[in-house]
Amino acid sequence: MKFSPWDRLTWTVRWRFSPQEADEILDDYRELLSGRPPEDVRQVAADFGRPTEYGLWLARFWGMAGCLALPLLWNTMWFAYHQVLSLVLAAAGAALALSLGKKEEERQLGRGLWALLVVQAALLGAVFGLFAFFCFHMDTLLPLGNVGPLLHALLQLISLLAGLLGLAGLVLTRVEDRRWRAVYVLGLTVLAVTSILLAVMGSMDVSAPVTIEGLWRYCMVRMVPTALVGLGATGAALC
Amino acid sequence: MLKKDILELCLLHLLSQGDQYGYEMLTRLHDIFPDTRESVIYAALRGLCKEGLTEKYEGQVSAGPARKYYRITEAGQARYAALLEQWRAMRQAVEALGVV
Repeated sequence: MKFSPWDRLTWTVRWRFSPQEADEILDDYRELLSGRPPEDVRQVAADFGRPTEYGLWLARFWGMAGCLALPLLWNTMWFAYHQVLSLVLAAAGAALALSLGKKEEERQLGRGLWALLVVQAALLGAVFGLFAFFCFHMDTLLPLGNVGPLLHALLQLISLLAGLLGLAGLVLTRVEDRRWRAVYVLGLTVLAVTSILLAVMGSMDVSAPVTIEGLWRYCMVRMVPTALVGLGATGAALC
Repeated sequence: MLKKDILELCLLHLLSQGDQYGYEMLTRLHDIFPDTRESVIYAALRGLCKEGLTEKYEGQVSAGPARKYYRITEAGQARYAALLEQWRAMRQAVEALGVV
């Protein structure tokens, strides 16, 4: 599929500016570049990609994408759990997201944003719910067998969904409204909380708690503060 | 005085002489400053609009599509006067050194 220089200019402008500004700029250039050779259109598209400010934004964008993608990869692979690194990356990603850009003209928050936030919050709740269910119904579940692999597979699925929604939130932060970063921050939170549980499940540490009560306390002491900090950061990301 | 200010001064000067078609201003300034990309001149023009120093309107040309024209506002006139003063002071200072 071949894209015209005008398509490239449209993408570049939509990527760099808010929807309203992008519409205005494209409208202006439609007139200014009408009847001009494709090289001129190509040149304008290239010019929009050059400024240092944009380069810095792009570097931050890839940094944020990395902070989400690495825990996502670790959580969805069998034996690669980096609990501490996941928490550090979640904190770094959230800090980058909260430092994003200047305030745009306030618009009402879209339904899509709320819907994705609700889904992310449900995924976070599901991690706690699953853990509680497996802890307190272990006696009834054990005879069924495969409890561990089932919990592990469900946590991997939750990680995958939260990570993909977080990446969507990150892209929409750029092309729609910076408040979409809240979806990204909540995605980081879900991944961080899940990584704590996955790390305990995959741990070969003999000093790890062996009773259900011990395991519950060990995980909750880590998961609850992480979730609370993440929810606080999500709230801040909506401001 | 930065290059950006000189571009703004030139744009406001053109507009102080009468309403202008965007493309016309862009090509005129690009001819005068060939090293300056058109997109930079457009950004300066857009910046003036955003600051309320100029405003855009659609004008009809006989037998042609509607075009966007720009006109200077009162705030733009004040900015033009301030930039012109800066420009004259700078030119005098440079001339005082013997640069002509």
